[in-house]
Amino acid sequence: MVHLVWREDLQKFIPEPGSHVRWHREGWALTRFGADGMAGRTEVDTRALSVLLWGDSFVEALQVSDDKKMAAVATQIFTRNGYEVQVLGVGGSGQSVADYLLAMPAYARRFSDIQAQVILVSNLRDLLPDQPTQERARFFSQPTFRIEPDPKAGPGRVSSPRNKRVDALRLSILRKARRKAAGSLGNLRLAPGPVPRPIDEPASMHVGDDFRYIARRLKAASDKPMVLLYCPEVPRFEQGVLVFDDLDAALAERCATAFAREGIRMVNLAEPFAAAFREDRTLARGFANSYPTKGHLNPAGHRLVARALYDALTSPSDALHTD
Amino acid sequence: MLFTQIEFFLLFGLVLLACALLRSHAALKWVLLIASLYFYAYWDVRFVGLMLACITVNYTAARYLDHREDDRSRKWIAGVAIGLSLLGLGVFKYHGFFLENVQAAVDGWGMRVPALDLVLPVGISFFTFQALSYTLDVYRRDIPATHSWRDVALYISFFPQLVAGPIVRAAEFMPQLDQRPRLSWERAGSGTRQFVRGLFKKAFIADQLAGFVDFTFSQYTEFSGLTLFVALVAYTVQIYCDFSGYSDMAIGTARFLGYDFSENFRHPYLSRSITEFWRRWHISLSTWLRDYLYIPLGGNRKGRRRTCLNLLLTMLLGGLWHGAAWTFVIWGAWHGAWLAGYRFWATKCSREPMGASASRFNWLLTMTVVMLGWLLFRASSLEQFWGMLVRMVSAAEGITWIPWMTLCCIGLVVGRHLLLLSPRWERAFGLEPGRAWTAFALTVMAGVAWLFAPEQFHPFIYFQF
Repeated sequence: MVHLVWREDLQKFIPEPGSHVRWHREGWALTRFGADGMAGRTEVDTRALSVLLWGDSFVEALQVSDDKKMAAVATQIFTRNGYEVQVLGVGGSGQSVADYLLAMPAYARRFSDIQAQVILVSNLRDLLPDQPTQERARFFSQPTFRIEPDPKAGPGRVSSPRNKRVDALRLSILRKARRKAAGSLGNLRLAPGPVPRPIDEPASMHVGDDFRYIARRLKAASDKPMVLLYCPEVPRFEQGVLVFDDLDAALAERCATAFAREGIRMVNLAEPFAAAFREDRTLARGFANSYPTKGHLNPAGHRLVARALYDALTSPSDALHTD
Repeated sequence: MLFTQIEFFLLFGLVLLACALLRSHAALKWVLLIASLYFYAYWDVRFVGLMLACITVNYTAARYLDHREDDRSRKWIAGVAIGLSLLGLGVFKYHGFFLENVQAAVDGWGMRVPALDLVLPVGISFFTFQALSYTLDVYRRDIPATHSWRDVALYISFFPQLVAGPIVRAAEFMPQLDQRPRLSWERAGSGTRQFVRGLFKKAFIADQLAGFVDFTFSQYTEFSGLTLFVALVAYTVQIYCDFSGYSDMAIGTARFLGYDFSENFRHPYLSRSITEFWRRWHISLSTWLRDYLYIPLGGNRKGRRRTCLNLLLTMLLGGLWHGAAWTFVIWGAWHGAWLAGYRFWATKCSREPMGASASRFNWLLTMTVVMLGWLLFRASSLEQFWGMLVRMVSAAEGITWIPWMTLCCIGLVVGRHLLLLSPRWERAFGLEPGRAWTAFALTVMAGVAWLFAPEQFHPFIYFQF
């Protein structure tokens, strides 16, 4: 379990520095957290040239080992190509664009030489207002678009002394047992069936000015070059066969247009993911102990994202200037 | 209600309490009947009426049969009861299959056959067969008809075996209802042992494999031949653990409450012939089909050709009992053909004991036949069966995905079967009563099954039959 601690200078909860997590539910990996709570990065030079890579659990990537996380792979690619720049994964499970936005000024103070801000999203709905979020900040649409801390939301992984003791004794199985028992009792049903099926209510979707609003706010939060990396679920299974189109292709188009108007380039990884599969059957998502094409990015997916990040930041329009 | 749900354990606790506290045997049987009806109603209260109707028809027919002496009217009464019971089964289970085939036949004329939207009641095949067993046993004068509707209702609806067997025979169970069941620590221990074994097989092994099997079978065109082969092996293990696990839990629960059911599985994957396989797999169904279908058809008393035909017909209907689809019918025919072929071959062969290599070859051949049968059984269409077979045989390229947990689960079951082949190891690691090892192993198995069972809901495979 990741224990979170409050960091005053970063104005956010971060994984406890020096802690580590062994993940085996999806993938099988060990992740270490350094002084700034970055997954897979135990030592950080705050004065070096840096690219901040913002994201949720896709960037935190507990599913892959530290040297295979996209930030580490991207750093290696930059180094190999003569760029002395470190890519820092500022990812946390459950975080949303609203969280990154509020944290950007604090990170700008902590890291003196930020060259670019890269935001990775795996679901474009994370850029839309009124979405459920586990973390502190939320994007509201009513009465007007606004991003602010939500007093009701908050990280659920803050360490308690009891949880720490349980982890230290390697007795986290007890916590699992308690959760399981609570879940069973919570779902207790004694009435005869049939059980009425819940009707899926469509989530609130405001697609229009909201993309532009959040792009504007992101641009205002940082004056550095900014890139939005979009990792769709491509390829995916549909009715028994692999398909290579993104279900959210239309949304991605609108998002790209809105962000481009604010000077943020969006890189859609649908094509690189599809090409990787066509070339040598490499899937970006899925592990041996999870379903192919589903869930988080696997090491191959991280490599593809790292490559796309490098290409985006070294292309003529966003070229890094490291000299 | 599933045996793995907390609600089941609550119900079981209450029933056990009633067994311990109630002095009146009649009252205890009422409690067991009400608990059984609640167990069924927990899934869908609307279908309790259907089961009660089936019970009443067969109870009434048996009463009439008991009072009649002339064969003609006895045949009529038994025929009407069987017809009405099978009508319910036919309407709810086979209407879709029937209408689908009628539609296919009249498609050329541009006609549309109206579709019926009927839900398949859980366990309808099981309780119908149990009801028929009662009527047929009374008709054959194997048992007398009981005067108590409650006893017949309890026999057909007794909750441990209600929805997925084993198919308990009236001649085996009804006499047990005449005496008050005795609770004892010995029975409780033995019942718990069997229940936990079943729980582990179902909740841990079968459910772990279900995710992999469902995913690969539904997307078979994208996976490599190797992955599909592993999926077929996984399904072979899954269906055994799922169904024998349910049977173990049913038998264990009943034994705890003081009732005995016969074993339903005897390590079928150790069989060295298809005939032996059917003596070890779903024993309650194969003996039911043998006694009420194969033998009345003439069995092996009317010459070799007729024996083969009877085997084929029995297995065809056995296949159809499993599901309303052509794949099930062909699966039944596949097994029927092999049974007939084996019978024909066995009469030609000497009866000398087999050597080790011949024994291994026979085992391999039997498993190949069984696994190809499972491929038919699991495939949603003949096209899928053929497609998967071609991909496996041609070692087709595609996504290779073999989760290590799948291999672990397969390995566990293979390991268990290897233990059975070695008496020494079986003595050391078998779950014999009264040993500290047994208590330890069962505790670990129950804990692992509860904690590490997949979150997704996987109903018992045989619930659909």
